[in-house]
Amino acid sequence: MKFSLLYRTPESAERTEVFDLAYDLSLDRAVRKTVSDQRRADYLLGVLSRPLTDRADIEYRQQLMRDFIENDGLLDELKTIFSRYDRVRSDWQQMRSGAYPQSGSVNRRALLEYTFASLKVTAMFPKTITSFFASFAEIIGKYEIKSECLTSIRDFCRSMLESERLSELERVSALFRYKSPADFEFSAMAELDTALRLTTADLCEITEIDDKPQNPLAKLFSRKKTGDAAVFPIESDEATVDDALYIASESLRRIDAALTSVTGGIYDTFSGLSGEIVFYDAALEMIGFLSESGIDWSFPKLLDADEDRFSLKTLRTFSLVTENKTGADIVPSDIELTRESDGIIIRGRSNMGKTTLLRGIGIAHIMAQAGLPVTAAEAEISIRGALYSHFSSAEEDFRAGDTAGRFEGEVQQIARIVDGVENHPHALILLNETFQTTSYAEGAEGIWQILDAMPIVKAKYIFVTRMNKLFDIIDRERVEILEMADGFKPEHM
Amino acid sequence: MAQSIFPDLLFTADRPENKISAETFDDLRLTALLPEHTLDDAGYLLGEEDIRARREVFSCLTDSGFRGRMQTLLSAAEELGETDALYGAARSDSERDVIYVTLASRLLAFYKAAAALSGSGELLSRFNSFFTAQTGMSWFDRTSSALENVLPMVTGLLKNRVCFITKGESIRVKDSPKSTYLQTIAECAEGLGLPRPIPDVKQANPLSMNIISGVVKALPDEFAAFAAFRKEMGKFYDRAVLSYIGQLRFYLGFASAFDRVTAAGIPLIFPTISTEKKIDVRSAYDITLLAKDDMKIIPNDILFTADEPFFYLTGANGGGKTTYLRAVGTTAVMFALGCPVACESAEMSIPDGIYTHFPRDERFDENGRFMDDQNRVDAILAKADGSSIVLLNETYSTTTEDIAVNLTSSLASRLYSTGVFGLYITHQLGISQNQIPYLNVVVDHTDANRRTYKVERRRADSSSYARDILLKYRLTREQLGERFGEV
Repeated sequence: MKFSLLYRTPESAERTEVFDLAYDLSLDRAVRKTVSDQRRADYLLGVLSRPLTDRADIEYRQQLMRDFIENDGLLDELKTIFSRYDRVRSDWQQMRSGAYPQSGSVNRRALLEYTFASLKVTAMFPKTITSFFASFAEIIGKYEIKSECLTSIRDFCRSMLESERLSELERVSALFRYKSPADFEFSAMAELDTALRLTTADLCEITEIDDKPQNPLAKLFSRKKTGDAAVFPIESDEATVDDALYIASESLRRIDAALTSVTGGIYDTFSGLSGEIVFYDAALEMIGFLSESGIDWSFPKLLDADEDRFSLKTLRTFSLVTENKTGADIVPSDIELTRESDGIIIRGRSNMGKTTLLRGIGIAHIMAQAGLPVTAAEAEISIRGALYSHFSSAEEDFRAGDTAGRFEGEVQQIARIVDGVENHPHALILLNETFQTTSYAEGAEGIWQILDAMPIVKAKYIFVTRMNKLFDIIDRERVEILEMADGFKPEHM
Repeated sequence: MAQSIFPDLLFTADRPENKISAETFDDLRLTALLPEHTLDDAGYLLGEEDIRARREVFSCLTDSGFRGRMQTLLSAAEELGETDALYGAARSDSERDVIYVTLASRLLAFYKAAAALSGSGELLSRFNSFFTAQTGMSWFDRTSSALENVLPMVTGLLKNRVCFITKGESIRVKDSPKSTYLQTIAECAEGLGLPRPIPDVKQANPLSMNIISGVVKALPDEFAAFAAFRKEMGKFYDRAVLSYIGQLRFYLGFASAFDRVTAAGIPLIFPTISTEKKIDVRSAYDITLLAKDDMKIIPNDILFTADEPFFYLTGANGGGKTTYLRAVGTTAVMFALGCPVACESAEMSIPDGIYTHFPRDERFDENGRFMDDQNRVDAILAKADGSSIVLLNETYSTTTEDIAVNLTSSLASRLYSTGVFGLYITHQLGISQNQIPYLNVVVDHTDANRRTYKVERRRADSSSYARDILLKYRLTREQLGERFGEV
């Protein structure tokens, strides 16, 4: 069991793939503009680059986001406690490394000392972790939460606090939290191989041997001596002493390894949440910025992939915040892609907002599939199997600079996208001025060869272009054509 | 039984003199295709009698029941080998006594498995008769009966029977099984829905002789029984039986490779053994490509005769020259080892030597690489004669072009004149046109310079390859329709 604030199940995380459109869509700059801290902005962008493709996964994040929006103070309290929790492992590792013997060569005497010291450190942590479970349950219990994620965390913590097994583990750990190996007699069951070599030694008894009062827990857990088997002393020599120390050390090492494994398994249930909560922290700041700037936002209505459409009312392109524009400065657009259309081709004169609109559509999909609100008053969005972009003007790394080389470079990029859509049904492809590095006639012919085949793999596209030749060869029954007119408003053609 | 000579599974009589080098197996990538140790004991060039005898064993291996029995036999032999190593390393009689119980148990398991391996042909009949006879002898029955008593004692004492009590540097021992804290922790883990912790097991640690003596004292009855058993039964073990490990690995290693070959739809046949000097193979496959999970192997014909024994092989990069060379090499090697060969049909004379010369890794500087090339060439020239096969892959490619052209021509002419069968892959287009014929990998100029991986006789083609960009990236409407499965 492992909780995540970002992924509903481990499979949810495994299903995600990187589709990094942030640069093309200027989303990276917009996020950095609205999130005050570079590290948090980068984390948010990292999550945005892995869009979710399962409706339940997206709703999992949406619910959590709403809990944080509606419960002032919850996010800050969880940030603090998750951060403390995530430091436990590094503290643990640091303390264990401190237990390592300082002498240069490690003989078996030193090895036994080290193993016991390491076990003492390990033995502290079951109790520590239990105290965190109590804190998690207490904090979440104070708020009116509705999300599946936080409800599950609260309930899990409460059940662990009542677990007999966890208590038993704490009691066994307590046997090793005090003193040194010289204070104990260890009994270990040996497993031998067919050549009578020792393969494992497992502790079955630990008994204090000094005159001081016994650790009450050690006494409690010491097995009663049966007294019915004869005990044979073994004559001592150097090799035998070495083996005696090794057997004790090995039996303690295996307890240490087992406790480390189990404690680590319990610890892992909540590890890494201090990192994941950064996503919500940054997103809350971004939403706050939008509200202050008068830019409408809303959680989109998610549609199944098969509905294959989107509708965005009063969409304002989020990336325009980088130009210090407020809601009042940004011309909103209503735009829709119907199930029946293969895609949208946007044309128009320079500086009429073609690329801005393309970016707005792309960002809305990225935000929606990250579980975040979109910058539209109303939105309905089908979940896309993948998101791709090719922005010709944004590409500056063609190798040669000659026309043939640049065109082939573009073709290579489109080929990678086509490889992707072949394996991801219901992809959305955003293309900006693609194939304009060759003659427009050739470019139009070339791009149509590709766009025309996209419905076969259920991919849709939004294509901004100035190649007028394209409009002579496309099938207008299947493609929506938008002309960006004066006033930055798209008009159907 | 102890005086018996174990009948060999690889050879009908004495081992032949000529061997195929490990380097050749590596060059041909057979080592990548075959499981480890398959070729440890098998790199001999066989005569006709041995080739036919091994073919009978390989024929039996197509029967899954027989193959399962041979696999069981190999497992038994390998377990016996592991225990033999422990027995050899034992430091005291107590250790030898206890190890011998396991050794004897594994020896009998091997004999039983060997007696169950019945099959046709000279090698198998001889082998099976021997072991069937042995398992019917009195020593076998007596050992079996004695093991029924002592073997459970060994297995019982090895696992969590002996308890060591340590206090500082002192140690005591007792015979007292108990539950451990590890078990308690494991139960907690399970109860919490976590995997049971499995601490790693370190390398087995030999215990001091004093501790072993302590264990013997704690378990006196058991050790007395082990000593009595070894005293009576120890004479029945002959280490020569371990030679079967290598022999069985040869057959089963190749059999597992043949599984991959047939799964790829590639035929396997036994070539006709020709008394006339020739290699005439239809549709030979470089099966070593299967090691790279390449399942689409293009077959090619191979033809070497006394009139045309030796060829240059040239053509475009990535066109399949080395693959063709390996197809020739693996075909020849597998034929010479008595294995079936991956092709449609074949008629071959038996070679008395198979030599390869491939580029080596960057082990040497330029001058060192040239000397390494030359030394290996000299070694081949010293051994190869008219009944050998020589396969050269870009020999002399490490030196300057003019020198390489001269050396290439000279080496090829020399080999051609000896009458060896062979191929010489070269990029040296400047080599003189002489009597040595050319093979060339075929490129389809009418289909975007597609590599066909077919080899045919003609002069090397040095023309350049024009490209259509959309075609090249399979982005035309027709190509996309085909890729996407458009109806």
